[in-house]
Amino acid sequence: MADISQAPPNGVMRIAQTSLHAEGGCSALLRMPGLAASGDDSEQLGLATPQFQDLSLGPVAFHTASSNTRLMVSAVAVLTLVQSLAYDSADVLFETAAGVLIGGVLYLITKCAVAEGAGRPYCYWLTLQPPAR
Amino acid sequence: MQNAKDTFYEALRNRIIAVNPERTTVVRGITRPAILVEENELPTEFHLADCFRLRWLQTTTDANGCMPLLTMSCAIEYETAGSQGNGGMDRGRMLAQMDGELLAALNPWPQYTQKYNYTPLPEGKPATPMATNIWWGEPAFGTIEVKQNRLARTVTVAVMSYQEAGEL
Amino acid sequence: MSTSTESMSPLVRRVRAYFAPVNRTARQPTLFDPSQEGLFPFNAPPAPWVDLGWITQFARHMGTKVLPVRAGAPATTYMQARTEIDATVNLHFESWGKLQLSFACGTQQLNLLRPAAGATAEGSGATAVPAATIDAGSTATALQLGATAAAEFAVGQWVAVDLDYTGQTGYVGSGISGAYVTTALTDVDYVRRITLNVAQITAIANGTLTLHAPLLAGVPASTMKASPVVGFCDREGSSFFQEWSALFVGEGQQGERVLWHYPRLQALGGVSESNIASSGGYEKVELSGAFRALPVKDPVDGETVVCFRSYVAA
Repeated sequence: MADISQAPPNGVMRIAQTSLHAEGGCSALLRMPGLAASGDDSEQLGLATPQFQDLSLGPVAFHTASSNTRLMVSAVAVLTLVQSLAYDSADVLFETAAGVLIGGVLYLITKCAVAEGAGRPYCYWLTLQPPAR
Repeated sequence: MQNAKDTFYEALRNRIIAVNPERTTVVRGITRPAILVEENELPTEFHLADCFRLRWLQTTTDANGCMPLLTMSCAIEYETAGSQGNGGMDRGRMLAQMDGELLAALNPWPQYTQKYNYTPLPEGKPATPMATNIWWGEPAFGTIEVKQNRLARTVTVAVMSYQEAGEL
Repeated sequence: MSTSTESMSPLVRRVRAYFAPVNRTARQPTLFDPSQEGLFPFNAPPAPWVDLGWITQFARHMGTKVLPVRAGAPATTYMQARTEIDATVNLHFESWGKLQLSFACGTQQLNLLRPAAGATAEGSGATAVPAATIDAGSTATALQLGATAAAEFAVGQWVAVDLDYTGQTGYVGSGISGAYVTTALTDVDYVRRITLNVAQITAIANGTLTLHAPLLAGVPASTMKASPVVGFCDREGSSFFQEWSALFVGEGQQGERVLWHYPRLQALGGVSESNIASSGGYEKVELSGAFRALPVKDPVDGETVVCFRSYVAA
């Protein structure tokens, strides 16, 4: 996947961002876990209580049909988060995330695909898994 | 039962570190030994490469003795894409290295260790030793699975323990 | 639910065997004291015990006969008596080494000494090349032979170290009796043929052979010599019974030990192997051994016994 961690947004990315704004997309929060404590065995044994921060993904497009739930996120929003949190890439960001909060429901991210234009990503498709009932 | 799981993880982690101290990974921003228990971490569909992931499967009990004997099946999964510098062409060798490290950790005598209760850890207290040991059998290495650019394998090992009076 | 752990049956995965010599001339076995040494590390047994490695198919059989003594009408058992004391042990050795071969065959275990050029073929080895003199300063793990003599040996080869045979009768073999000579022989290398004082060469430098383990007889005497060994040979038949003190240890998973000590074991049968199916179409050839336990008198109470079973908690 193309690395967006260093470069500024390009025209295609801005178009995608603008489209999501214009269509009145819903909002979503990316739930990121806080840093683990170094050398703490209780962290590794599930005894610790991690801290979370919920970060805005900006306007998103949320699709759900049958068992297929997908979220379209603009690359501009992802780029902002990657740079502010100093992650190596969007891949690492989404692999590390605890999930996506939409309407108060936490979805697990199962897959991440990128849409590119002119060799640069302009949006991300996240496949989500709703919580078990 | 949880004490046996925790003890096995701690023992295996320490043995893996002794075999290869360089095998580390980053979990929630912290570098730590590349071995974790899936059920003790945040749920995720993304599998860390070059890291041993423990998953507990079925449990059977034998209540004939004065203490119930528990046998828990533990699956240890790991996968690797090789190293970037080699374009992943060394993924077979790196998987074989992980095979060797796991065998070197699980096989040597003694294949038992004292069971501990780790619940005092969040209070800053040390783990409490219990009256019995846990022990484990020979690892069974599964078939190599090809996952796009990664090679993966699952190893299964039986972990046994006695359920002591008052232990949950 | 009981909190006692001692009452749980030991769960043993494998049994390990150890050997110690019996002084055949003095009829003195090596006794193992479980109260002092019951929890020794598996890979570091207390001297003079030697590790024989893991064994499988370990089976003990009790042959002791207990007869009732009856009296009265109707005849009623009012006491019992042990009329025959007997015990046997069966096992498979997991490894093939000089000691395992010797005890499994139960009789003289011959070292195949490197044959002299043109020697007449014999079933247990032809006339050997002359043995090398061992120089002063040698130890149980380093044999100083001098550069010329050392050049006749090779790394990885075995070497037998013992005295020349000079016509003696009785038990022969340094450290452990390897045979009993009833009629004087003529082979000057005979003692080195039957000796258990052998080791494998791991390095040769400056005329010195470095050995992988100390010689069982310790520092070689000045009159001992070294012969290169190309293999080992044992025979079905012969009159000699090899005798050894044995210790078998099973470790439970709670750290407890079950120890079976047989001060005197002699072979019950002849030379045999068992072929065990292995993977890939191969068969593993395992050394089989069957032994009878001979009696000793326990000085604690003067009772005549053939074996000791001990349980030592962790």
